[in-house]
Amino acid sequence: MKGYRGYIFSRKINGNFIPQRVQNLVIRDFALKKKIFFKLSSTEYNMENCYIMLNSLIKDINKIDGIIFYSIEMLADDKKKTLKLIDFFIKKKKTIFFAVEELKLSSKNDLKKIKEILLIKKFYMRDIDFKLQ
Amino acid sequence: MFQYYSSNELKIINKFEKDGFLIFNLDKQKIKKIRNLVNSQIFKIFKKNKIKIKNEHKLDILNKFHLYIKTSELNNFRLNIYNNLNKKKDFLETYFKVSKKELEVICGNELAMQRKINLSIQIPKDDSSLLPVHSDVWSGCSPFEVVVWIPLVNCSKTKSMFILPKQENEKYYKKFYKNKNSNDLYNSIKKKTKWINIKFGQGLIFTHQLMHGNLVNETKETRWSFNCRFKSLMSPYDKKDIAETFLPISIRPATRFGMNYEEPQT
Repeated sequence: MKGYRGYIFSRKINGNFIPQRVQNLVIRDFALKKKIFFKLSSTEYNMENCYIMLNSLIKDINKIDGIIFYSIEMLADDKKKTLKLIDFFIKKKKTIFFAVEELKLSSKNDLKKIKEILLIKKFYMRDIDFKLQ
Repeated sequence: MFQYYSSNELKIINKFEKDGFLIFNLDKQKIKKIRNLVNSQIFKIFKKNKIKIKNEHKLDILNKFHLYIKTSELNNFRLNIYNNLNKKKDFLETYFKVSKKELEVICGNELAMQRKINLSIQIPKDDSSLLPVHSDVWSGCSPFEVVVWIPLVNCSKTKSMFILPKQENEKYYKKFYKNKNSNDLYNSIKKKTKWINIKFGQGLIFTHQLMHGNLVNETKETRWSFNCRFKSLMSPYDKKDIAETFLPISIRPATRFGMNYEEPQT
């Protein structure tokens, strides 16, 4: 068993600042519940649209079974970039988990579902749409 | 505005818009299938824990459940069944299908469903599982959601739940802050609340904007009920977001095309 690497942000996630300690707690709890061997988390840099740490995991791909993202919201920054990386992990038969949403991604079909959820998040109506101008 | 509803749809819509809730008949076979699933889970856990059920209670174990379990063990028992049921492949689908017709009239035909169906067990005289009067919107649910509440036993009076019907709800919302706590709030509305009288084989859909809750079950039977939230897929979400709390269960092709549309590149 190689184990799963956690992946957290040091920048805001969907406009919210979530302490790294809290992100790690959620990932650790998820791993415990799913009986997954959890290796410490990689922390992405603060700069917007920066995925250097996620890219670095590609280098170590043979040393892990997959990655546990704190949340699906982390994909929303630069969707094209992150989804391309995720596609790469799937091709290498690795599994991605999203701890907050308890979602698993290990196939093209899973990726399609995740993309759809991201699109729904992008397009669903906001309360403001209902307020009279 | 044009509204091309059938007379059956209008019946559902008018009733729901008037009261904010609707009691309807479920598909008998499907709801019996769900009840059998729960019964078999209870028997399995009882067997594991060497709890013997009297013969005369075997066919009515849900109502008689409190005779076999201590209040202190109740939540673990409930969570055990809740987890096992929600792991079953077609449990959520069956739950949706028993209320599909009414849900689609009330919410639309592109829906998001809560990822797990909640289970509530109210044994007589137990105050550990009480839900004081509340609206789910006050704790972060979107007002666009509805709850499908399905009992596995006949429910009335304190074995059931109460709702403040829509017309009254609007009045009390206006003077909400006159109340200091939920007890005050309940006392101010209690004469106007309606206790849901519902039989096994029926379901209740209500908007959780309406104040609702329960009291200590003063009857001699245990209440078993499920509840699950649904909403129109593209309507606003609040703290309970898509993915984390809800998952899409129906996305129509036109929406898929729309979401994937990209402008021609220049």
